[in-house]
Amino acid sequence: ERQESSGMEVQDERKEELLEPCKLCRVRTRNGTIIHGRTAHLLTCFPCARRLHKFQAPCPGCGQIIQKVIKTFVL
Amino acid sequence: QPKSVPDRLPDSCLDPCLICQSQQKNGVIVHGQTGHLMSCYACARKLKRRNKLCPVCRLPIQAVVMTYF
Ligand SMILES: [Zn+2]
Ligand SMILES: [Zn+2]
Ligand SMILES: [Zn+2]
Ligand SMILES: [Zn+2]
Repeated sequence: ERQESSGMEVQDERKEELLEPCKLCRVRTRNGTIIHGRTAHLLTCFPCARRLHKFQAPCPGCGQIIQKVIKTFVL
Repeated sequence: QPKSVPDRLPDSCLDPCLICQSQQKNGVIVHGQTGHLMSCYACARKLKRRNKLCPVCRLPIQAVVMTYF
């Protein structure tokens, strides 16, 4: 399903990714921050992120164990 | 607009950090089950270190996480 799974790159080039919808449902806004340690991935909506956490799936961005998922508001 | 159009975050989410106005917004401020993203990681860390409240909602800052998109 994932076409571009190139991992973490220079952030500037991926800046506009934030405007892309949730990588999983492709409909809702990205507002589910997946936290692992001091870092996090904001790739999915909150419902999709929560589902991943519930089923103990790894972070879709880096494969780390998901410690916590929060609903995030971006200004 | 048709309902099939996906939701989008505001374009302002691509604007630089609201504090230093230079770095990318990538420091999510965590409070409970919610978070606010308005600044870069360095600026958000500084707020936390100085025991400041979240500038957006005034909740105490529990953690700051470096966020990748
Ligand atoms: Zn989703
Ligand atoms: Zn991750
Ligand atoms: Zn800053
Ligand atoms: Zn807040």
